[in-house]
Amino acid sequence: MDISLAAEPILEIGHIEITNSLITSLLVTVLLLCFVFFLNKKGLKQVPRGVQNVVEIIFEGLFNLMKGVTGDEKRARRFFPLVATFFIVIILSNYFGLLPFVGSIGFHEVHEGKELFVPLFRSANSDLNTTLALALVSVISTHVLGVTALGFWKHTGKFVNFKLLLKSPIMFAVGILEIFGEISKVVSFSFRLFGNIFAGEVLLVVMGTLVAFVAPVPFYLLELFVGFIQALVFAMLTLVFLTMATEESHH
Amino acid sequence: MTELLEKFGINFFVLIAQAVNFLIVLAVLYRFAYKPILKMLNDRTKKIEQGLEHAKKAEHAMNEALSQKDAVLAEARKESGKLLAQAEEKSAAEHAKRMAESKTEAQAMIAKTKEELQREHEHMLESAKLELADMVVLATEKLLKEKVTSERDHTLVASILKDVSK
Repeated sequence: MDISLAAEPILEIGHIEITNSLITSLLVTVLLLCFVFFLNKKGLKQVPRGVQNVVEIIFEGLFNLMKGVTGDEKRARRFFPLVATFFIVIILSNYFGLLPFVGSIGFHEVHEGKELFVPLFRSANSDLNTTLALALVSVISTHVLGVTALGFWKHTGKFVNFKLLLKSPIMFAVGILEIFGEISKVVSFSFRLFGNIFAGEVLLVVMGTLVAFVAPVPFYLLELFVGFIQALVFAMLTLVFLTMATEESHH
Repeated sequence: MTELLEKFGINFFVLIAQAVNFLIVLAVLYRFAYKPILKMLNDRTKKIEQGLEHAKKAEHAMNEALSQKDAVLAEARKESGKLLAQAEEKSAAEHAKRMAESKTEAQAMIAKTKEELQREHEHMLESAKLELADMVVLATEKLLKEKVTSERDHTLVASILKDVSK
């Protein structure tokens, strides 16, 4: 048993490597888009039926939660697309990673003299590339929305403010520290999600090899819970950072 | 650092691909899910609020109509009672008046009859007296069978009359 920390490349087109986690991610994306198109083709109805009910429950629940966090409906409406997409994409990726064929279908490959099992699919968030990409999108979008909400100088003034240099050097230094805070946001976002999901995958593999039947079931349930919680944490943290970025600084 | 990145399999292409992936999903969901669904949820909320307001208004109107109906009914009842009482009163007054009228008429009739009777009685008495006087004169003439002076005759008649009238 050998679990690679990095996602394994499946295809190589020129210099470009297509990893198994990228394939999974694309598959999830395609399925999600298909679902959205299907929903749209059926048409939204004033009196909802079937699937539309479920979608509405999720949307309304998320929206009300966001209204509670941001404190005003206008900003909740503004941030909703980004935050909801984070939540939906992450939870779908996490749950897709729990499907039986993910991580079990693959092929053997001889790599540096060792025979390795390379799975065709790998849970998207158990690859640091995916989570890092999501974290970057999250943190960059907080800055973009911060700039559009407050203006460029006011937003950057939160980090580098030369007016404060003479008045209170300590506050200026705090502003500089905030820049490192932004970097650490990216790291914590990406490693939190990656760590949780990767650990879950490893846990399930280990439990599966120890006792093949029944025993992994509670751990699957645990992973369902973790997958939901991590998606919610990622979305809510993004929302909190967005809310903070679009507020005037108090010092 | 590079070793760490390699250990985690950080691949610039995959990283960008994942980010682009996410942004595409975001764009598509925004166009085909968030916008229409949020709009519809909003519309529906408005519609439900409107409906509730309408229902409230209708209930209010109904309550008003009901209370109005009660008021109108009460008014009508009162009015009819009043009319009835008036009619009763009127008829009673009429009755009393009629009764009084007929009573007075009857009394007048009785009085008239009584008077007539009295008059008749008196008349009869008078005529009887006269007749009696004549009869007395005749009788006395017959009785006396003699000529009496006119003076004596008159005094005699007068005294007899006095006796009779007593």
